Amino acid sequence: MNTAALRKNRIRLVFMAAFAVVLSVVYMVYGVKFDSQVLFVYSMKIRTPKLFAMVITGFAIGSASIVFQSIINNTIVTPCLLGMDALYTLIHTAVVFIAGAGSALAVNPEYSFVIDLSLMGVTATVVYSYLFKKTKHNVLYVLLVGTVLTSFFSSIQNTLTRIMDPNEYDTLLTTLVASFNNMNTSIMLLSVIVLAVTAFALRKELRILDVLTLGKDQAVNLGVDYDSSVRKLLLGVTLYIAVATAMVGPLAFLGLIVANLSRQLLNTYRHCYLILGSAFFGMIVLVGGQIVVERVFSYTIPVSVFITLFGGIYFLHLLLSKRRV
Amino acid sequence: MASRIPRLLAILCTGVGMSVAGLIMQQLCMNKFVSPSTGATISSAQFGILLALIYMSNSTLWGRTLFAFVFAILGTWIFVCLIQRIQFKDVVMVPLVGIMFGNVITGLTNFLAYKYEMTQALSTWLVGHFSMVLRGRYEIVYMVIPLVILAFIFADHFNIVGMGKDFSKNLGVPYNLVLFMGLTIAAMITSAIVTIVGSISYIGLIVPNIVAMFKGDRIRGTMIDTALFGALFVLICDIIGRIIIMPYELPIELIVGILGSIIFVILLLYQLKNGRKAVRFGKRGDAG
Repeated sequence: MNTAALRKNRIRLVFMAAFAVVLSVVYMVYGVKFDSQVLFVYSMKIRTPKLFAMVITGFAIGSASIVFQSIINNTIVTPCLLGMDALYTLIHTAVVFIAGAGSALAVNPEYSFVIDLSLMGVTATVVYSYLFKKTKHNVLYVLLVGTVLTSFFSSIQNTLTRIMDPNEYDTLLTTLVASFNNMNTSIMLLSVIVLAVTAFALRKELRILDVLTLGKDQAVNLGVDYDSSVRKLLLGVTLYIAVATAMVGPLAFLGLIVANLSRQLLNTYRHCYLILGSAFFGMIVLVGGQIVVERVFSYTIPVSVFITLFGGIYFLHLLLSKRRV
Repeated sequence: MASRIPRLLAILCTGVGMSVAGLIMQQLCMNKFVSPSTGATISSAQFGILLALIYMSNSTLWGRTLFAFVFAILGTWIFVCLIQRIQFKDVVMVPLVGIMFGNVITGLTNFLAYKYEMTQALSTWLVGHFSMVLRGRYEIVYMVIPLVILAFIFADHFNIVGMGKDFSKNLGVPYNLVLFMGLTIAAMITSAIVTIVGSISYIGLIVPNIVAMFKGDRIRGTMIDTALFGALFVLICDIIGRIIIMPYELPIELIVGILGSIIFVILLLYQLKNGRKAVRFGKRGDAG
């Protein structure tokens, strides 16, 4: 790639980062009364954890989606096919169903975060490692089984919902819709640690991501252990999505939007740019969406609904504009 | 008897209907992974029912069925138009696109349900169960019978359309007409069942594939076997669901969901291990 295009991409990335920062500042200060110190401190206390949660989620989903698309070698897939959303919904329904809506397990966000993350992490690792072995590293078949798991989880969850006390269901519903309201510092610290450790453990695989997108034959020719790299990366992606989902709830189509926007805007195949771009887009979409939800719709509609609607339209647009997937 | 005979008839209709609908869709789309649950039919039918519940709150069962019909047909048509326009690199991408398309529709449904606080009411239609099948409110399910007979009459046409556009034109079969008629039949069968029983995943996916493993792809020959096997499968699942926690019962969707997932994964792994000849999954190559 020539240097002019590289510089263009760098400039675009800087712009995106700047835009993300501007949006964050707008989110933090909009409508804050600066003259009263008590009110100022109070609104900062409310907004800071939310902002951090959005930034972490945007980063996790954005970067994971690009990696996911690259290892599947297809740009219209989104990591929601991995079944983590359905598993999250099932875990929460089961906890409320078994322990009751008032129990510590359901009420305490730290407990439920740890339960979510450990269950999702363990399930994903065990199931997907096993599947990779069984399917002889055929990623598409692994995904197909992933969707089977999704309907498996949701048929259990739907059954539990049907026989649940309507009052308990109402409490449950609030946790099943993605929101940034239940944040606290220990959760975010834990998420950041998990994300950082995963990225560090996968640093070798991430570096050869550009080679992996050439396809299996080319990559093997160039001396890459294709199968094991793809397996490790997919586990990493699952873990990232699990962290994001456990923190805020299901955000199915966000990954599709941000990864494709990043690919469209940054005209490159280099993943160091694409991942960064997608992560910035994730933050921009989430923070911007949250501003719209809070200021325009005054909290009546959750941000996940917007993302699903726009993501759905964008998905159809992608399908119609591509001749080959 | 007053409760068991309707229930038995509903079970038989469901089994026959869902498996024949799945068979038609697989044949027409030339892809062994397409079925009412992976082809957006069920989710569109649910969307239609929800709209009927919200905007015509005093709608009868017939009204809801009509809404479900219209939306299921539309959703299936749109999905098939989409997958025909696109060239797929791998057969597995077709159901993946279908599932994501279904997710979009489900997202819309959930949004409306959330807004009107109907999510728990909606879950009645999300979970297939036979416990509400009583005289007076299950007769719509009989619509499956004429539709299945219709499908049987046109079986050879579906077979020809399944061989591709040029081939069917050569044989003098109007491709688009038969394609969309077949999809309409499949969608109507599905939505009649979704309105009465609720959605049941997997039957339309698994049953035709298991039958095709033994009987081959000629649709007229396999349709009766598919229908009978589907009825048998649902009946067995229902009996299991009624025995496990007697005197209560588990909804059929749970049993089918669990059994179906396991069978599907086994079939998939078996096929991968023994090559494509062993199971005819996706034997026809790329769709569209």
